[in-house]
Amino acid sequence: MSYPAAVSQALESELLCLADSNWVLGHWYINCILNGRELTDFTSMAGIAEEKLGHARALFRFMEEHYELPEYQLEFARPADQVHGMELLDAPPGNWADFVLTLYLADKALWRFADTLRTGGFAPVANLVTKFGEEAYFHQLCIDGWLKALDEGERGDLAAALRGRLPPVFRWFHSPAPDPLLEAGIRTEPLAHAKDRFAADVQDLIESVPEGSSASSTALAQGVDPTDWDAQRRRPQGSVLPPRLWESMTPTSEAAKLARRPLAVSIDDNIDLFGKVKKDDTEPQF
Amino acid sequence: MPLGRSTSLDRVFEVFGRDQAERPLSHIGSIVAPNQELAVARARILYSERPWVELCVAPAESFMNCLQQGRDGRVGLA
Repeated sequence: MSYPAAVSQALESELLCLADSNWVLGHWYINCILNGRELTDFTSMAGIAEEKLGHARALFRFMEEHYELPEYQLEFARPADQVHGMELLDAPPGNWADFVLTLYLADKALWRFADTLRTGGFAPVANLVTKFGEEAYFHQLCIDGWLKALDEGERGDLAAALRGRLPPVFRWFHSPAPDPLLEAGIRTEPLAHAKDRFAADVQDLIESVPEGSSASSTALAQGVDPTDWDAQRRRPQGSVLPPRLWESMTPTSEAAKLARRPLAVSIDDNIDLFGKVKKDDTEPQF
Repeated sequence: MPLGRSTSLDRVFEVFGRDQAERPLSHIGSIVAPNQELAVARARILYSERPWVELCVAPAESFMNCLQQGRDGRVGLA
């Protein structure tokens, strides 16, 4: 199925928001594995990280095929300022409660966002997202379990963390009208509805935290300054992923590069992905 | 809170799996978790060595021994 250029471009941006946020989230788990509380937490975090990176890579591969992009460039050759990762995941976790809370918010928000595409008319994306949802159910179960097991002191940390984490996650849903994906039937409901569903999902947690409701109302009331908002990346204009987080995702040290699985194509060409360079199948591959 | 804590909230859950539809459900191990949500999530990740057609957990205390007294809540011969 082919869509008009504006729809296709909007879909590309939204898929990158989904893929990149899963990519960053996967690295949150990897970077924090040693902060797990029990041996089984380490295993769980490694398992969830693997699946999050799997979701990101499945979307990258799909986009390479669909948009005829050069292989592996989305993952290995983009600069940080072209990455569409959630702003929520920019600040590192301050403690265990903040870590669990951020995972909880990010996972729920990603699912509500993806769910608008699951029921849409573009089958390849709808099918991918359905599969992601089956796995994300268990990720959310694990996070629910961690939240339930927080002790009294950690619940205090949760209240403090909530104030900082809610505004960026609510902002992430901001969408300028009209939404080309909604008009094309790729998305079946506006993101404003997805945001309402997300707010309903997290309401119980918010109400269980001291002053959670007021933090939530304040965060919801904070709008987005359209002149300072990059609607394609769903982040403030010009913002980039923090350097240390970015380095952990795309290591630049020689040892890390050597440890990578060899790729079939060079990623050193600095190809302009968004200029839509076509793959040249006549070029020799090695 | 120190790492590797084991709290009084921790419970033992027994894990059962079936790797083919025609095979019986078998006891494959145990999981320690403070709640049911973590038990299910941990079992799914920890026992992922086979593509199970069925995988489930049950709290160990729900098992009653029919052969010996005093062994309720325990599954397996250990």
